[in-house]
Amino acid sequence: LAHWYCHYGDIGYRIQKEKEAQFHPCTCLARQPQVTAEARCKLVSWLIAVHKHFRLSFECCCLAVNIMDRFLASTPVATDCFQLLGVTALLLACKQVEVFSPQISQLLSLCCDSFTKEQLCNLECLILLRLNFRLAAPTLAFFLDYYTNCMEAAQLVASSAGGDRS
Amino acid sequence: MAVDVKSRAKRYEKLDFLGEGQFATVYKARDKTTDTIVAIKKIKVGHRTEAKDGINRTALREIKLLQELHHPNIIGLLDAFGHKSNISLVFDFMETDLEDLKPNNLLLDGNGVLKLADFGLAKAFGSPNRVYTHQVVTRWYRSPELLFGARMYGVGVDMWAVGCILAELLLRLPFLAGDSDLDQLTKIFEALGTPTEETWPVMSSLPDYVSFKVFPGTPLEHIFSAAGDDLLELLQGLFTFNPCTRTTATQALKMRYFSNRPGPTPGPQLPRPNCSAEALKEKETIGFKRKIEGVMKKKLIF
Repeated sequence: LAHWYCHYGDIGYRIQKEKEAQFHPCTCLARQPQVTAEARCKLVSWLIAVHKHFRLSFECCCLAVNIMDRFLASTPVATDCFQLLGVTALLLACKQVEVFSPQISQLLSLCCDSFTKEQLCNLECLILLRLNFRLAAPTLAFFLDYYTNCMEAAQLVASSAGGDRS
Repeated sequence: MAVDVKSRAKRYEKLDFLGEGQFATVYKARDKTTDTIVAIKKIKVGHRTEAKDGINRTALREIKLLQELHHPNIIGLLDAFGHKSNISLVFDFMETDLEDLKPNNLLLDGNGVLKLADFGLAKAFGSPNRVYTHQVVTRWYRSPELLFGARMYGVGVDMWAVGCILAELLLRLPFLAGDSDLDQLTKIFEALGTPTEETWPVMSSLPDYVSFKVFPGTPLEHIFSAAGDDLLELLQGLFTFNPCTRTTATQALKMRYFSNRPGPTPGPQLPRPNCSAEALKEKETIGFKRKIEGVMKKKLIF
């Protein structure tokens, strides 16, 4: 069992569960005149491949999608800028949870240099402002990790109870 | 927090320069809206590597955590505003200077209330237990597992730092002041004795493990001759080599030291320092380069 789970698993879960609603991007496409569910799906699929390419964590990928969705809920985005939003959200997520982040030039290169560094930096700041600098979204990665630990803990209890009987 | 950056910057009137570090400049300012004194930490972007990567990640992590933390013993982030890659953080003003736990980051407010500051390297403990960098925590407060290069670590690293701070309060000098990582380990083992396979079972499998000369160590009561048994018991728990058995914060608070007399001096009666403006401590950054393989290169058309 993970050390954090043993000491702070339950309180951590309670806090994350409580915060989940505040960070949940409800109806993220409702205000989008151009971005469609299909486009979002295409971008997320690409981001999953990109995060694997850079060997980033699942948590980082979840955070990037959360940042992207919450920004979409706040601001209309043109389809030709949509990919830029994806990589910028990924960069913001990396800076939070990764030891090493990809360089901006690497991210731009993956977009075939369709965007400039200045555009990315401006969007990075705009995202932070629109999100009111609130970045600590509880992620699917956390809940998965927590539940996996719960299951392991339950199995340990079961096997030790079985051991007592025999 | 409003979005209009210019009006937000105008809200604060710069009064005084407080200090400067590698990543930030700190000013004393007056909030014209509330007529209170605040400290503004302006994250530098002039630095070449900073500008290259956009918004400073240390600042980003600090904002992220302070936005979620509201506690009387944690410095309050009042506001944050930014323009391009430039970010300013507005804090409660503290009389002493502004993740890591060391005396420079422990501030006292005007009422003698302790506030933790500087969460630039902090992690939410709920983060899945994955690989982290071991280059966290200023060296003198770094635990042996970090010095041996552990990438999977937990709250134990903070409890070790708490032990070092407590020791420093007793000695009025840094307890273990190593001038390199190896020297740091030597200082730790000289003082506390070299750990063995019994006292710390997985030590030798840590990435940067090197075997050390066997030092017998000095009993804590000889080092901290003015400390009572209850305090020595606490220190002993905090300076446990094996991070899995090191005293946790919850366990520490239940120890006798915190219930025995004398009780703590009420905040307002504590002696207060003269307003010092010591610069922010610089944090280590890590540069990293990796080649693009071009596999994912694709302009998405929607």
